[in-house]
Amino acid sequence: MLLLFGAAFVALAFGGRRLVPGRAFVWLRAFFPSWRFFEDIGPVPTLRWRAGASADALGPWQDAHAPHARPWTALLYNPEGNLTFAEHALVEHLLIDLDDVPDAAPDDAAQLVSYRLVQRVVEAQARAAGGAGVYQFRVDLCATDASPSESDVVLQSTVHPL
Amino acid sequence: MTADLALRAAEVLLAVSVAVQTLEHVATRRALSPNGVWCWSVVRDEFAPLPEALRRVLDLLLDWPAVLGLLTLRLAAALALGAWGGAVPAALVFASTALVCLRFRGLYNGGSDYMTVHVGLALTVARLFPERTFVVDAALGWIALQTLLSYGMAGLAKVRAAAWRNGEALAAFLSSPRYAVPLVVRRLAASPSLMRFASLGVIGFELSAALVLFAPDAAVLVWLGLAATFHLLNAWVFGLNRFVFAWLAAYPAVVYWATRV
Repeated sequence: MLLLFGAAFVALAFGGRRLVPGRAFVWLRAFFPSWRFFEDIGPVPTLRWRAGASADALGPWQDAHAPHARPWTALLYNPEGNLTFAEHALVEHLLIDLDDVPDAAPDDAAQLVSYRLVQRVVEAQARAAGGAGVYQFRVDLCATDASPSESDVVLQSTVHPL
Repeated sequence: MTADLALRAAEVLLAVSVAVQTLEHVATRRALSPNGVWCWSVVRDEFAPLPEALRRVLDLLLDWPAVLGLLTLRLAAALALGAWGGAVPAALVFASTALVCLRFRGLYNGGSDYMTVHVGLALTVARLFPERTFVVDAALGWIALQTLLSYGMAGLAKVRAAAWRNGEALAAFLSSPRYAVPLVVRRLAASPSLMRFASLGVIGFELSAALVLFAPDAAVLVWLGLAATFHLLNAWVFGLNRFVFAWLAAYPAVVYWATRV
């Protein structure tokens, strides 16, 4: 048991992702735990969007995931909070996917599954906000505790019809 | 603790964990619907490299509304696992958990998915070969291993980072708008000395996982109590409720192995 502990510790610490390369690793991530939580305090991707009647009349940028106070029941049961975490993860995966195709034209990026899923996050919010016409979104890199004004835009979508 | 008792306790706790997870998915099922964020017509393209026949199997299991059937089956399997235990409910819990992860392109909730999959897999193997002591021990050992690694790896990553050692990282996470941290905790994050003390405490606790197997039985129980409190605090502060249940399901295996070594 102790030998197994040590061997696995070393293998997971230093071998990790190389064990299962490629897309299959992404699909089977649940089988390959990294066990590294809250490790990186580098910039955090943040999704923002705006909508309007036309491309010339877009409203102000707004956070897709503005923080909301949790009810006490969230200590045990937190469906909306976990959905929000999953949407955050989508945005992070979009940036990883974009890294894999660094020279992709904007149209190529828009074909990525992660891009289309992030797009649907924004569409759902724009519709829920009563938006009609068009929308646009962007991903900013913010310091972990930074205000929006300290952000860097790493991706800005074209204007999409709603 | 006997192996049978450890397995049974793990089954009951895993059942609670999976039931909560599944009820959360049911509550947010709009995300899986054709109008939802994770609509299958888009997610399906993720699996374009697979043979068409395999993708059709995935269609049958993961498209809307079939995915609701999958969630119903998962909930029923969790209830059966908690009520009676056994290989079939454990296998169904494991398989349905893996499929739900696949539906979300690999993971839905990170660490809790890892732990749920590994505990489910190990319980399935243990219940498939109940008369093979070696297999049961190995399955419980695998759960204990992953549990101790989860703390040890996290502690190792943190102790390597200067920002964690000096408290800046913890203060940054507590101030992050992403987690909707309670106001009282955000105020505490303004104290650098408190953050440094708390950071070192977290790092020390996580690294101490490596010693659990050598500790006296009473100390192991105290350590697991601290660990459960740690997860409850994370649920309150960061909203990570799924980790509480997922890790609790793994603790019986840690107790079993810690009392053997």
